[in-house]
Amino acid sequence: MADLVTHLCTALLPGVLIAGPRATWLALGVVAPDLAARVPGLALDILRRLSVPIPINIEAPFAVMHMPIGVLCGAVLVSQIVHPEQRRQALVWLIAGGALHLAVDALQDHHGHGYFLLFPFSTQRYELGWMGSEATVAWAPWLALLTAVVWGVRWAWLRQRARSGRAIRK
Amino acid sequence: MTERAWVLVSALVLVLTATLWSLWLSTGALDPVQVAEREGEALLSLYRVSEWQDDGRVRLDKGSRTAIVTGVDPSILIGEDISVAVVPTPDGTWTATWVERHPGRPAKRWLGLVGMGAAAGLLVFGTRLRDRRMWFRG
Repeated sequence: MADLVTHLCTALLPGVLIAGPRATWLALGVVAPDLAARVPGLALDILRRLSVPIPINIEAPFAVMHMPIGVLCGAVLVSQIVHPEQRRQALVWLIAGGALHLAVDALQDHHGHGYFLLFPFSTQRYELGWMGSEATVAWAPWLALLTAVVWGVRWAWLRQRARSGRAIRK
Repeated sequence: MTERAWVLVSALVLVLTATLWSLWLSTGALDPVQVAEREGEALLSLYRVSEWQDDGRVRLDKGSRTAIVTGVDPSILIGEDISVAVVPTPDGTWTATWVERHPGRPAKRWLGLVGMGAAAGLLVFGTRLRDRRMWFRG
């Protein structure tokens, strides 16, 4: 998996064009696969290192949240906490974010040990192997800076537009 | 299908897929021993070096999984994250055929925490409650 900052930037950079709640859903959708699938395992790892007796492979079922079927079903379930007026749109953008996450991850190289994109229909692993699994670490700060600049420019432009609108009305 | 039916179907599919995944894992399909039998060597991907033993073997850990490996470059330090291609030895340990170091792993973990914080910020500042549901601000 690419790092979470890079994942967020891949959603927030194009998200500046759609802005508003759609950009937020896209961003939340893009981080959801890692949060749902990896964070429980990492938390249990920490507990194991502290000698807490955690049963073996108890975190294994969470792995499905990093598969297309888990992304789809998870988005349907999570969208239920969204207000009904926004729910359908939220669902679409959450799924788009999850798909973007899996697409970015599939670019990486894990020596052929890629992602189970078709489980439970196939146990074949897929990856494109175009970049190393830590390659994004070097880009992440620059991507974060670029994202902040792009959103900053948008904010300044909107503010400027609002001011000129008020001036014309006067 | 109504929305409630979709939710029910999604929950069922999720539980079923997670069960199938756990059952498939329990067959040992991803277990290094079976992988090595099938493919000649197994990849211990992203294991952490936990201990250098006196006989030059190294103990690698990943979650609840442990492997004892020989033939690892002695310059690798305890606490480092590595991926190792291994072949089994008769005494139940492994011999490394090649090793890849992952020096960017700790930074990646920190970026994960930063990303989680940013996502939490988006949720906290981008939403409010309306009719006891989440309303995302426009």
